Amino acid sequence: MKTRRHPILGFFSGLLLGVGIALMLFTFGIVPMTVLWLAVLMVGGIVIGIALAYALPARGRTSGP
Amino acid sequence: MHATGRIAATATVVGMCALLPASAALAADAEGCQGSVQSLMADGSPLDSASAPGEGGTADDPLVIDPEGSIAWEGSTGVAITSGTWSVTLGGVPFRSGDVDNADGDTSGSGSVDLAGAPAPVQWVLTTNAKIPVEGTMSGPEGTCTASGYLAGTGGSPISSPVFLAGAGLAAFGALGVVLMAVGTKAGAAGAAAAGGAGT
Repeated sequence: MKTRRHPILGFFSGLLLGVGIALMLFTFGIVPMTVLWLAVLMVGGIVIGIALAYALPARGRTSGP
Repeated sequence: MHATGRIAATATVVGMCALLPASAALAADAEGCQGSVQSLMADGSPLDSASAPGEGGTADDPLVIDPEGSIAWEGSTGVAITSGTWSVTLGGVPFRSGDVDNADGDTSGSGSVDLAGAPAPVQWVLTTNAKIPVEGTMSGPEGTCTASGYLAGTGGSPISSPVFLAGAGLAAFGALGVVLMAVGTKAGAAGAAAAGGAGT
């Protein structure tokens, strides 16, 4: 039995999500517009994206040979 | 091993939490010099002011500036810095820098900056409610002057700002990727076995 995971897709999805959320938080002044906050949110997004790639439940399960 | 990982993760988070407020505490601070800033609207009327060291220009009370207005500043140093370098960072990113040319040995100065001619990205940010840390440094053989504080735009409509729209677009693409990842995560027999199973 082999499960197909997508850590690379998770990496880039998390990266985009992290940068996007950072820009939105910046515009509302919720966090200061600094490189440090951008890096924290970007890395957080990447970690969550990769974690989701391995944690999401597998679909289309088929029986083995 | 797991305990070590937990301790490392906890230490990282605590370190980050300690670091972030520390940067905010440096707001409107100055060492080796002092100065004041007055922000003006496009019609020349006063908008906000701050002094360093002193009141205003903090994380909780940033200096509000008008993207179509200007900033008038004045400052003085404890000693005459006749040569060296100066630099300004915005949000931790180098913004402007240059060489100090003060052969006359002046210890005070003043000037103004017209924001209407600022690059478009700066204008976009200033139409939001973003709080931008700013730090200026001037150093030479006679001494060093460092001042820091917070700026903010006049706000208005952050949702219509290109910065917000770009963020929303990137977040939407990221969310779409997560959905595709969820849909594409499949469990089953290995390819050859699956093909063989389908053939029987």
